[in-house]
Amino acid sequence: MGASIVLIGNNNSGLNIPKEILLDTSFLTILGTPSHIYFSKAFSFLNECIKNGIELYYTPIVVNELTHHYEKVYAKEEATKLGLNIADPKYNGAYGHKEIIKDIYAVNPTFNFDNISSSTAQITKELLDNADYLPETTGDGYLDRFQTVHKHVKGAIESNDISILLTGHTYGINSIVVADKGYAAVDGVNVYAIPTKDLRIAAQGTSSLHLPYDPDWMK
Amino acid sequence: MVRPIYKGVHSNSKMSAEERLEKFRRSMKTIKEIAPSTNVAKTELLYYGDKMENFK
Repeated sequence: MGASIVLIGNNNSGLNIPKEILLDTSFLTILGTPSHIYFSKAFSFLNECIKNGIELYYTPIVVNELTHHYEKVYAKEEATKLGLNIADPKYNGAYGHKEIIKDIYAVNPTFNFDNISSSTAQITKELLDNADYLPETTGDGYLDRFQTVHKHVKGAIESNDISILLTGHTYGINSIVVADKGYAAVDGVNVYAIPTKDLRIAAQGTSSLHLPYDPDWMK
Repeated sequence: MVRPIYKGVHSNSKMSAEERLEKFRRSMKTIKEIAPSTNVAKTELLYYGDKMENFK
């Protein structure tokens, strides 16, 4: 079955958007990159949401992911200034940012980490400032439900993404805006999608009808 | 299901659409000023979709 997928366009006027929607990190990193070809679509979508009083939400996982992402990006900018080769494969992967920062200090032992942390904090704040925070909840049965979703998605989304969806569900929200094709595999979720190649393919043959909130989802 | 009470306590949900739009535009102006350089973003961002071709 999968999710209901609505592809975001350049003009989202008149798009049927639910009253409340979660923001995924994949979407926000595009909004934070004005040189990206999908930036204007991300901007237009949020503009339309705000214009129509749609409430935007993020969870703590998104704060973690954005901070991780931008720490690495700004570390690469600083590394470039110091003449390091940021294309080095050792800087890729989950712990690449630690390697970069270690090498920055090796080249410049007096490096001021504020150069990275203040930029990371500022862009993360600006990206999230127009949405409201939902504390992560771990209500009764959380572990069982997490594992039910984990089994259901067959690896299409990561554990962080499962947590975002479960937290949203606890607050009565089953809609999310993303740029990550994995969400297309999740039953019962309304996915508003940046139309990357993968998501355009995923949207083919799927419903774009609004799925009602199901209190018993994945129970 | 008892929904946690959190709605309506945030600043954004108390603002009018006009106020929210103005705030959003200010945020986007700042983001354009502080966003990482394209060259760095190209090496890091976007395992989502089509990678390098995704930049203007």
